Amino acid sequence: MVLVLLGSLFVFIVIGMPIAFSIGLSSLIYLAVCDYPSFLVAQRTVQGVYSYPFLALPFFVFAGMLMDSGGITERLMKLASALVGHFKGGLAAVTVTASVLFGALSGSGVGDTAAIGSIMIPAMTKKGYEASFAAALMGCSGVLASLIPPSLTTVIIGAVGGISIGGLLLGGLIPGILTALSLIAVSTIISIKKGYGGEKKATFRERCIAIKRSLIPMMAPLIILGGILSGIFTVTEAAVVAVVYSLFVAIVVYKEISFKELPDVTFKAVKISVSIMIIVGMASLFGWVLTAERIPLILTKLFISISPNKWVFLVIINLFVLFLGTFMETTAIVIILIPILMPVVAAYHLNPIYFGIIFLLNTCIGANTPPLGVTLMTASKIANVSFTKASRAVWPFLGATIISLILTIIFPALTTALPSLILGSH
Amino acid sequence: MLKIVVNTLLWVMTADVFTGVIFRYVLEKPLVWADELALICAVWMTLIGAGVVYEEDQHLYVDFLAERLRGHKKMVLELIINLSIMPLFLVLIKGGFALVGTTYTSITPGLKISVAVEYLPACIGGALLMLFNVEKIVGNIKMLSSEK
Repeated sequence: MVLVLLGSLFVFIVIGMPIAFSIGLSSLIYLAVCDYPSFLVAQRTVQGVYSYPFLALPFFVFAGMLMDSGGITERLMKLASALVGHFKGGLAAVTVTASVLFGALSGSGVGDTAAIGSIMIPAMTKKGYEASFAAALMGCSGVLASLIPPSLTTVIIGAVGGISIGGLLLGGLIPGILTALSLIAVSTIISIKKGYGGEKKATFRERCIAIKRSLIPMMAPLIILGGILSGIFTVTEAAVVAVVYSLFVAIVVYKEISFKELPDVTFKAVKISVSIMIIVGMASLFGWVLTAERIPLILTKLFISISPNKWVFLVIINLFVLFLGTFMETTAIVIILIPILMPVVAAYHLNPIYFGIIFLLNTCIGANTPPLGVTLMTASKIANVSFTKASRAVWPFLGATIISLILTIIFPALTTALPSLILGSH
Repeated sequence: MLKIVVNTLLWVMTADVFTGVIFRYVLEKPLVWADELALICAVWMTLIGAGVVYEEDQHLYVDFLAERLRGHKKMVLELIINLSIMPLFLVLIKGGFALVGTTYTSITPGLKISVAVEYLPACIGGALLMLFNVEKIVGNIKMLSSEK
């Protein structure tokens, strides 16, 4: 029975059926075969969406869209460019910084890479960077945004796995920065070697202007992070405050969005939110089926019987997630796998935050690993360079990311120290 | 039309949760119904929006097979996908109706309205999905027959 469920799910996803419907349909087949009532489809889907932590999701997306269309993202990128743009490989560093800080807006690694890549890739190629280099770098830094706050993916992982979202946001900080720095280091070395270079140095005055122009927009990520970490707001409340703030800045302060354009921006946010929320709804049905079949329990026993050693478990999961990540969106993998795996994680006495962050870092690598690598594919399309060329250019960056993944796995303190320091031990 | 509906739902959610924040922290009088209203809106937005997103082909999917197929084969694949999803939408409508029937006498704790409002969007959203599904299937068949 389990084989029917998982087999049909796999077939549906591979032939290109929308992931939400693939999950729903394979669960429906299971319900029909095992004679469960079919109203469970409607009931579980509704109940899956009816979840308070998940309310944060549409607000996160909405705030992100407003910042993006409201000129906030652009101002922040200009600031980064004014500060480090004149170094050899400076634009590459700006690309990493910008996408890591403000990239995780849509919850789709592919979407985020497309959004920032469409600005940064042409900017780099114009300054003489090779297109394959630009695509490879953009692909790797585009997905990395899911580790660093404000990140939509951490909200999803926390909500479906019952892990503290504040803890995940803090836990991802050090590994995220570590990976970003290693990407910058690698890109700088390559840039110096190949002589990619250096915009005109911004004058002191220009820098001051860029800083001044970014002060107001900088507040938005700070509200989200500060609100959650200080324990004043729940994640949902912090997200809604960020929406209202971005709305105020985009419409009243900068006047970048007119009332006429507002419906289009809203609609874009709705569509992105819905395409994730419907997967969550359908996955809640799938979760019900898995529990009815006692899969989490069976899986736990299976893993323990293979090896009681947590390292073996981590290696197996890492390879599996890496494989899935090459052709599936991070969000979808998280929603499907995290609920199934959390009981196993508990059985191995692993810290859920530690596991969540490793999981995320891994999907970043998968998304850029040839021959499939969904994000790398997107970036190479934007850069108008063949996927084969981008694949060759991506290895140094992948190597850097893999090294930080290994470090993160070996030293759990990288992920657990900050959360327990700031949020206390729980 | 649908765009206005889903946009309004997101606006209501935003305004509602924000009002909730102000009442809780500024006026120190938490609103008992604020979270409930936002969650109900979220359910409506998701299920109605699912139809909208389906019509525009913007659901997340894995495209490596579709990318490798061309012309006739690609259209056949689309037709197969659309036909096989149909039962899911039918069940969503049917189950939605059944749940509305069993829950409409129960009352929600916050807003004090019928619990059926939580399940009604399953019928409406299911019907929308079904409508667009039939539209797509007809489109696929037309394309295939015009090819010959």
